[in-house]
Amino acid sequence: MIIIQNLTKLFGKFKAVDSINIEINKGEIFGLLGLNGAGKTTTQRMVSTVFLPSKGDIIVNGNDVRTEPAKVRKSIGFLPTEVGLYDRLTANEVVKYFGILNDLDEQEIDERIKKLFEKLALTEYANKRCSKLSRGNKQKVAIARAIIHEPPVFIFDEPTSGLDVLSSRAVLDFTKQCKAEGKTILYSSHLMNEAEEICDRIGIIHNGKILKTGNVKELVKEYGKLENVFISSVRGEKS
Amino acid sequence: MLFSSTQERIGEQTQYVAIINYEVSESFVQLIDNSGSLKVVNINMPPDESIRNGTVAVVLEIPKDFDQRIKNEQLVNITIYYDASSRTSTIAYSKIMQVLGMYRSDVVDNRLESREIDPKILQPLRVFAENVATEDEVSGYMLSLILPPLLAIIVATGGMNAAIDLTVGEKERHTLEALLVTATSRRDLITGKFLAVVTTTLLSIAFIMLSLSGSVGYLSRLQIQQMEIYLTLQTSIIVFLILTLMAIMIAALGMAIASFAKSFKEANNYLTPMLFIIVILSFGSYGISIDDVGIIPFLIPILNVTLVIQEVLVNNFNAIHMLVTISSTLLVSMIMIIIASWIFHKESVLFRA
Ligand SMILES: Nc1ncnc2c1ncn2[C@@H]1O[C@H](COP(=O)(O)OP(=O)(O)OP(=O)(O)O)[C@@H](O)[C@H]1O
Ligand SMILES: [Mg+2]
Repeated sequence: MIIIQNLTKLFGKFKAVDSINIEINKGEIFGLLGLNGAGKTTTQRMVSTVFLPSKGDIIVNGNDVRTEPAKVRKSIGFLPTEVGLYDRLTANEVVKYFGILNDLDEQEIDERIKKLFEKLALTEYANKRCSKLSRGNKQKVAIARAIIHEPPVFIFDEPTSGLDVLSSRAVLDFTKQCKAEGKTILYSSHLMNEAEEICDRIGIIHNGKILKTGNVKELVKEYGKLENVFISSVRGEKS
Repeated sequence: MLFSSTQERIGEQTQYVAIINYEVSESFVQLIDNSGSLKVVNINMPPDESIRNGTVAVVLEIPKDFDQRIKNEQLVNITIYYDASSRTSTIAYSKIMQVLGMYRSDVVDNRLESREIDPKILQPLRVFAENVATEDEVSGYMLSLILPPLLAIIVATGGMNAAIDLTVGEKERHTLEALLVTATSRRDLITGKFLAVVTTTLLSIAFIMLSLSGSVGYLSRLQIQQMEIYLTLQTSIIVFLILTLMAIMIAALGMAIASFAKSFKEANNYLTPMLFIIVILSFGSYGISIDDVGIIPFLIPILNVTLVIQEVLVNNFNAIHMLVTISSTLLVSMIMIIIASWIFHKESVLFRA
């Protein structure tokens, strides 16, 4: 579903992402794990067509990000790290606005918002202004906004960062539910227990390079827990 | 005030005067020529045309038997042609009136002295003048001076603020990325934003112009001294259209600068000096008399807009000035639109670290 080949991103001379290769199959959750500044966001932005790769290729749902960015955008729902809602609009209005920007017709948008808000337990907040929502509910609105056009691929950039336990739980459960519905998800995080719980496979990214990829169950069997895999990979790189 | 210095400067300048039948009285020609800042020249067109095309500021007509009549102590009729809507002409007119006034009292003094009468008996009174122009009259006059820069500044500030909000604002609220990954193309996004900036600016102009014509509607053709201001429906529409063009330019400029900035603070750092320049350009019209400017001021953005509006308001419409202003404004707009849309497609500028 997502093929990343030899992907490199340069900011001036600095290599934020350095020749990475990842393949993500349909219906799986792939975890991109790394420390701050590892290159997770930069990678996800390239997959989402926000950034153009400096080198290498990305194919999403059969479309090349360089030649068919519009088709790629239709295939993905991108949730950036920062919630970024319009404070003066209501939850409902924000999602509706993005539905329109995604070329949906209004009736369709209304139906989808109703369904999505129910799934995300947002229904009672639908007509509240975004500035009045809790951090957790804001994140749920941001998720609804990202996927209102029902794309087959989700790209979530640290979706639980800054959330309390309950909100994190809701986001994790929602992510699992989406996977059960057949969505393909590229999920970035620096939380190992979270990745261990929801990811099928992971890639450890450090200083722009992928140090290790693998099936979570197999890695856990081998190392005891994902944290050990991560620490030994990153330490090994440093020494 | 800036304006009075312009007036003084025109006063110091030499204005050209033509005299019909000048050949009959060399002494009269000398009188005008020697008055200091007036110069007598020949014209080969009717007086009104010569004044309107700027060859001369005023034209005097004296009778063919001028010298004879003065000598015989007969009444002499002198006609002065001038253009009340032109500052240069008006000033030349008042200079002529002064010279003629002095000439008249010289003639009278001579005549009295020849009869051995003290000229003072003709001056039983000394008169002190106080300006009693009503406030409406003065405001009408002030309006033609203040309105053009004021409107230009309103367009500039309104447009800049909207431009900042719709570009840097999206960055600061972290909403930009979400927008960029929708099915809407970047070109459509920036076009939409651009139109939104222009529309909000135009709404504010429309509001100001409506409230203005509401409050000064009854003064629609104010007259003060020799200066008139024409704030009719027709001139309002022309002014509005010129301001629309300027709004387009400001929107493009604001968006180009604001898209480049990383934060409101940075955008303000760029736009504050920009606004300062715009204010200076807007008031630049105060140093220029619209009667005798060349084409160059009309090539300068903003300054040209205020000058053209001023021309329209004093009913001194000039098609070439208008055309040059429109072209220069559109050219700058186009360059700015290209820059703004380039920035929106250029991730290294849009997401500057
Ligand atoms: N627009 C940019 N211009 C220059 N450098 C950038 C830009 N965006 C990111 N970087 C740099 O690239 C590197 C990778 O950043 P990235 O945001 O991808 O990391 P990350 O893994 O998402 O980290 P975090 O956990 O902090 O979100 C960092 O060193 C960052 O400073
Ligand atoms: Mg990040």
